[in-house]
Amino acid sequence: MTLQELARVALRGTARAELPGWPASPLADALARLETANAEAALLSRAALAGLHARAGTPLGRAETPPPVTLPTAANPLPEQLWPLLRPLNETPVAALVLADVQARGWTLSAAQVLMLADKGRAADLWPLLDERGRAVLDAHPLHAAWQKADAEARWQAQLDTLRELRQADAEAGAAQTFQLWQEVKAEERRDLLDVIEAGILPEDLSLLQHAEKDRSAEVGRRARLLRGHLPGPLQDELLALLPEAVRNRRGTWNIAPFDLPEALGKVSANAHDDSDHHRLLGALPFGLILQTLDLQSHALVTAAEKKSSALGAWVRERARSHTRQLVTQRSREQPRTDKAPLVIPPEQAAQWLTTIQRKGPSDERALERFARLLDPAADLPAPEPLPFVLPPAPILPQARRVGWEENLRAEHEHRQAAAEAAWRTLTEVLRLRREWAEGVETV
Amino acid sequence: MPSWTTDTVRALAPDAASFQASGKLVSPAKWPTLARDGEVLWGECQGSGGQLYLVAVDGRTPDAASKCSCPSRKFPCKHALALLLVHAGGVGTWQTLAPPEKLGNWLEGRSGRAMGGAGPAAEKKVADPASRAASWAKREKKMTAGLGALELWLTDLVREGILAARKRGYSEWDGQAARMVDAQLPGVARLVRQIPGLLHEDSGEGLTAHLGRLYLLTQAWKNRESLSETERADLLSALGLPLDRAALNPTEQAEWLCVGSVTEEEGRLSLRRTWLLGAAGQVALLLDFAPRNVGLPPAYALRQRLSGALAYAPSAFPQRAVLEGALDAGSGTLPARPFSLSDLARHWAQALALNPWLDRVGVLVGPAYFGDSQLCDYGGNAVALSVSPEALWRLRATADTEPAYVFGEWDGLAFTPLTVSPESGAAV
Repeated sequence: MTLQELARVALRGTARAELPGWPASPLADALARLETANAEAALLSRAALAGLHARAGTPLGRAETPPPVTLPTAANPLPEQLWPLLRPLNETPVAALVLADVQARGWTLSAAQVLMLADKGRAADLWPLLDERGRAVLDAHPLHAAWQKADAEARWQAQLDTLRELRQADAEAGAAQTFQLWQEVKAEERRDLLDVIEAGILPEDLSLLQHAEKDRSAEVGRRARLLRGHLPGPLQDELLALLPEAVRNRRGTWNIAPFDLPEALGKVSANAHDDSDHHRLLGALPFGLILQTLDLQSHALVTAAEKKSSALGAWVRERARSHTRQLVTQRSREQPRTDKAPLVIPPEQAAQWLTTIQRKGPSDERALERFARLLDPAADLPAPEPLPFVLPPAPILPQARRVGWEENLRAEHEHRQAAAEAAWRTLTEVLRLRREWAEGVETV
Repeated sequence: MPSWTTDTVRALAPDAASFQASGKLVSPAKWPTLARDGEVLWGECQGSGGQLYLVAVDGRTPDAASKCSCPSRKFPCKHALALLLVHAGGVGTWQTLAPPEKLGNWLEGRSGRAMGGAGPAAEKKVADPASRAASWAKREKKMTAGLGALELWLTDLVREGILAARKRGYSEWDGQAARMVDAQLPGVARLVRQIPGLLHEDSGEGLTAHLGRLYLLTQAWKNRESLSETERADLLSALGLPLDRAALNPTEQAEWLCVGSVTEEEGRLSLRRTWLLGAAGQVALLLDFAPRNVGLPPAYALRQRLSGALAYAPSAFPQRAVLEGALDAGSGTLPARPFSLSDLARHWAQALALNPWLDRVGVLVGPAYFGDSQLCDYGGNAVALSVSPEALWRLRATADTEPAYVFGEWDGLAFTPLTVSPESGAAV
């Protein structure tokens, strides 16, 4: 009698089912020797024995995976004395910098070390540091997939950079290369190609845009249709003529007004928050040209669009940002830094930043990251002295002088002083770690 | 002072949430003051409301008591845990500074109690044998009545059938467990509380075996006089009677290697199993209990070598033990003297034959490797693994493609790995 047969009786109950007999076996002999007063006791005592028999006799399984091949040990592992520094440094804003240093020196990390550092989602920085064993061990780990994705993205971005350069140097070859890539890539990447075209559209791109208008992705088709307006020609002239009607200045205030959308820009999708006559008109002209034609600043256009609808406002704001980024990139290309020495920020700037926190409150994380990265590790940065609290003039309106007004101001002041001190402590800690890292590297 | 690591601090935490919260405070920005005075760590931690909390950990005693000015009812609080994590991680700038007066008074009080507390407490321990016998007789009576009622309840259950029992509410099982607690049978109560978890299994095999196990306890109690002393000790342990530590007298000094610990929560208690491996390959299990919001005493670090006197609790299969006067003897490596997986099955069967109530054994196995959900040997045998995917990756990474020696817990169904060493890192 097996546990399975006993369970079958136990499920129905001894009042409804009878204990069956069992074929001869060592377990059956042992079960038979149990003397019990009634069926319930017989079932329970046999269940105890059969349960123990099953627990004790679980057979071993067969291995479903072949054993790993033992690979040679790492030839150039990270020196032992640097590992205790790498872990805390990995938690700071200079982590990427230090990991790049490890890679530049040709040191490798084991799989166990990488897993300890991997919590911060640094797949792209960490995977290249793995030694041969580590790569074999973590081959199926999500970190590998994340790195593959990041690596593919980096290679694609490099390809786009090369394409941008080619389009600048040789318009015809650049446009041909863009068309060729267009036919090879997926919809997601086609959006990137449209960005490249938008940043520096060429007359040679017309055939691609005509082709792209019929793309399976409605969004890609719409953008291609709008980009045709970026090319000088009758369509652009027509749109520029429409612009003062759509964006009007009344008594010094800019407003977005209704107008008739030209047929060439297609039909607006119903119920799409990111598609309207204005989206189409403003998207079909280069942003710089819109500002130049209307003779206004980008923030005025953003304000006017926000008044019309929040979706249009957000979209124009993003276009304005992207336009500024483009200008900055263009300027940096035209005037590259000739000084190749690493940029170092004087400690006075950091002291000034701390004073700003004391006066205005905590700043964003990027400022801390910038100082942590660019301050000289040996820099002497004194702790900020708490500023004295100065009570501002009381508000004139009595409703503004609420209960606890002064106490709240004092508390806010204290909070700002504490935030500045905390920022100083973090910064000095990162500098200390950077100093120790540099010393550690030197002693290797 | 214990050598604090993230793992030892995690073991000290009253719950997972406290430990997680403490992790957010491990930043020099949060600590305007970090100081140590001998074995005492103290500091000031920036609270979320802008106030500073004064926190200290007294490392002069093994219990690592802590004090904090925060209003938390948890003990140790997240600030005390964070102070230890900051110390363990070498974060921030530590000064050598005497603690302020507020902490000084608390520390003095602790020193005073440590020095003067031995006398009366020691006297208290020596209980009157006559009153002990009377108290045991009273308890025995309660237990007999409780186990008699349990036998009747089990009989009714199987007469009616498990299918019918599935319709019963949780109060039925909770009520029966509570009756077992009243009968001073916490071990039985724990087994009764496990019934609802097995109730809806299709085959009913797990629950049938479980009920059989409970029944075996009732029958063993009836026949306890015929059992040997060690078998009776195993029975009492399975019924949930606490170990009489005073009756154990650890004298023999030896060196042990801490090869893993597991912390679990059982009802209102936190339970920690710490596994030790002796020089000759013998295994010892230390058990610590504490209320859930209090936190367990500091744990030994993984692969910490300990020098101390150990005594095994009486058992037909000695495993649980008490270690006294343990001193840190550095760190060690797993010995390359393991069981094979085939030996493991034999070892487990022998252990169960000696103590049928055994939940698990601690074993060192190898050379082995980690499959997707199996621990495999190089002969093609495998056992199921009980481990989270993240932990499995860490174990594989530690083995680093080499054959590995693995210490873990085996319960007859699954192996829970606790520590692993690649072949090149094991002591030959």
